[in-house]
Amino acid sequence: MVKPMRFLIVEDEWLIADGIEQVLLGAGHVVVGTVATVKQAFEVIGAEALDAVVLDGNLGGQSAEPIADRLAAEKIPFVVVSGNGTMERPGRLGTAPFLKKPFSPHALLKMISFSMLDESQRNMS
Amino acid sequence: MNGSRKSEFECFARKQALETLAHTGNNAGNAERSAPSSLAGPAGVAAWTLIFGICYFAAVRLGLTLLVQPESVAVFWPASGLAGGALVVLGRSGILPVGLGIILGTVAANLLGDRNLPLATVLGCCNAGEALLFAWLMRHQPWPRDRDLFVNLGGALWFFMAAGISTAVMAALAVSGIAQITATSANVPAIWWAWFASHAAGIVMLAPLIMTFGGQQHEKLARAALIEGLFLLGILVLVTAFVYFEAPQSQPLAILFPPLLWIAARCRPGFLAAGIAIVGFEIVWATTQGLGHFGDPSFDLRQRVFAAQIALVATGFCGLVLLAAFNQRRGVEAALRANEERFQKLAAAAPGVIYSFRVDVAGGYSIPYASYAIRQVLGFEPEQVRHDATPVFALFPPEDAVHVNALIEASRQNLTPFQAEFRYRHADRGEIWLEANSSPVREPDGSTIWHGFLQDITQRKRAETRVALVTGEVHHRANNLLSVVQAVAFHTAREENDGQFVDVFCKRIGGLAASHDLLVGSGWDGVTIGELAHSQLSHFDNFFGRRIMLAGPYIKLKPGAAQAIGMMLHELATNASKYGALAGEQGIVNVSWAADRVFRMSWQETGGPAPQPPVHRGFGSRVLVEMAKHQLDAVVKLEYPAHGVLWHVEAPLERVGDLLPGSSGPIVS
Repeated sequence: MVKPMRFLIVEDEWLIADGIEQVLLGAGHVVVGTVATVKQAFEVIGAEALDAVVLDGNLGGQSAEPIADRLAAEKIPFVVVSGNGTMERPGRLGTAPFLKKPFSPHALLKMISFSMLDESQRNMS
Repeated sequence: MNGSRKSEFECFARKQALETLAHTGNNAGNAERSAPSSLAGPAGVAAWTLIFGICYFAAVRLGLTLLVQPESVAVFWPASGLAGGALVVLGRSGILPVGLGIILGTVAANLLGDRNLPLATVLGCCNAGEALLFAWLMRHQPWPRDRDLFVNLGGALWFFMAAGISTAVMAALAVSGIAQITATSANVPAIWWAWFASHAAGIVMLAPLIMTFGGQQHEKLARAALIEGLFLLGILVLVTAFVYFEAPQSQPLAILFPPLLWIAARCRPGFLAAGIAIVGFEIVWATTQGLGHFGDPSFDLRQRVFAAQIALVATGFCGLVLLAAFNQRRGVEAALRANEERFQKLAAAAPGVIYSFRVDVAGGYSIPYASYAIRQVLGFEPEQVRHDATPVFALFPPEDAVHVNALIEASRQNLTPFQAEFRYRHADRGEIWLEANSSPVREPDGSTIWHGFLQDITQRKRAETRVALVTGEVHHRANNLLSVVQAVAFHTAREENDGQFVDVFCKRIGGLAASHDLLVGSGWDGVTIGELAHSQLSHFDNFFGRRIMLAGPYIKLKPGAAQAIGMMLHELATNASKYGALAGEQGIVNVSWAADRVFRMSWQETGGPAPQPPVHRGFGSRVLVEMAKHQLDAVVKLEYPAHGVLWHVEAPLERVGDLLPGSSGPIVS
């Protein structure tokens, strides 16, 4: 059993956000918040202690890049989910661990454990 | 390849030259076209026969008057020139009237003298045959393309050959006829020579004049050109008189040339033809009146006549050859001018700049030629960049300049075609996109010149960018929609245990598709709540206005909000038709919305069965509450009072859409 982590889900489409939430809850994680905008995301990041973030690259036509930059600055690991391929995602959204929509629950959990492991190893070195 | 192109050009140039000269001069080769139509019919032929007969008779009398006495030797025979020229002008239709006229004129003139009818008839036939043969030869030149005697050296030379051949042949026939009829063995070669030389001189002297004035319709001559021509002819009269009428050998023949040269170079062919005739008449006049060298009685008469004939033919030859040479050159110039004009017109009509771009040995850029479109496309006058193209290249964005310079260098080294698309900072129009296509040629001095075409492709680039954006957007939306479908499947599968998964799932997807149709139909520009409600509740179509009441202003929903509210309406309607106001026969649903800075919307059921609050919150109620909270940032109320379900949301307007101007008042549908 993986160690429970505290997640924030940033996704403008509630159906998808809710799906992600169900998957994370099912895997034993804690979902601190589910938000749809950059502004809301910043509020939660400032207020809560987070272990990881699932980040949609495109929030209703607005890029999620500021959130990615903030997360990187605060050393909070995140997984980017997007309908766009790598080429269309600017900056950190393009280099972070990435999951292409649509994805299966299994793929999401695997990506999380892989990238978080990666992150912890980086922290150790 | 090159050869055939060159000859094509030559053909073209020649054609141009002839066309051009057909307007400026006379085209003796095509003179037939202008034959008078009155030649048709027996009456016309008879009338013209009479006219030609009288003219020919007059010409014969003139010739007889100008015989050199005391031996009655003719220097020239004007009737031959008149007849030959006329027949060339009239062509086939002139054969009958001119031929008969010649015979009549000859017979009449001879009968007035001491000759009998058979002899006169033979001579008349020979004269007619001579004119016919001359005209036929003029029309059947062995080098066909150079027929025009005033435009081509070939045509001018053939004119002299035709005159020589026709007179030589007919002189022989005439001499044998005379010998037969008079039964004398007089000096046959002398008679042949006298006929041949005088007739040939007559043709050379007069036929060109007849052919120019009888030929093409004439373009109006400018007054200055007319004065100049007449003035030169006057000079020619005086100079010729000075040369031939004065004491023998005291005047240099060469002074005849300046006026002749001048006329050939500057004037219409008619003036030169007139000049030749004038010089000829003065020579004949001098000879017959005993003036100057040719009239000097101390020389042998036949030698004097021969010398006069040589002078006459030589003058004609010089004049016509000069004229042809000048006209040939004029034709080439006209063709070049026409080509240049055509190029200028094409360049002006081309949707871009036709240019020559040069890189000299030192690497300096210049644009030696650019069509005037350069003003519009690059914002420069052609003169500004003729010697230095640096100002143009200074307006390239640096990275594009590097790119273009590299392409130029590669094209210069390998002499491969140059093709590039690049940006340009236009002084008036801001940043534009240009495309250049050209082919390099190495010049003898080591520099390289590209000839090519430059065009503004800004519009195309914009369209390409738009297509790329739209494609990316469609890609994004499609993937998002698939994720939504996946999520709907996931949620529906979790709650529907009674075997209705397929039915419920398909209806939800149908609701999504209806919203999607609306959004695509509006070009993703947003839809109104009224449209959305109608599309989501379309299977309750006949309830609208009776059991489903819609009331609210026009609010243009953002695509995301439209999809969410569409889904909520779908869930509300499904629930109402199963358990609520739309389940029975009487219930009513009031859907109303309003907006200032806050968007408010409510779904109020009345008159249906009393609703039962759900035991657990299923997907439907989660859509109505959680989805509204999440996606619209809304405050949601979902209640189940006895008189019917009430769903109410309040959300910031900017999350939902825009109130359309002029529609703040509620609408009801």
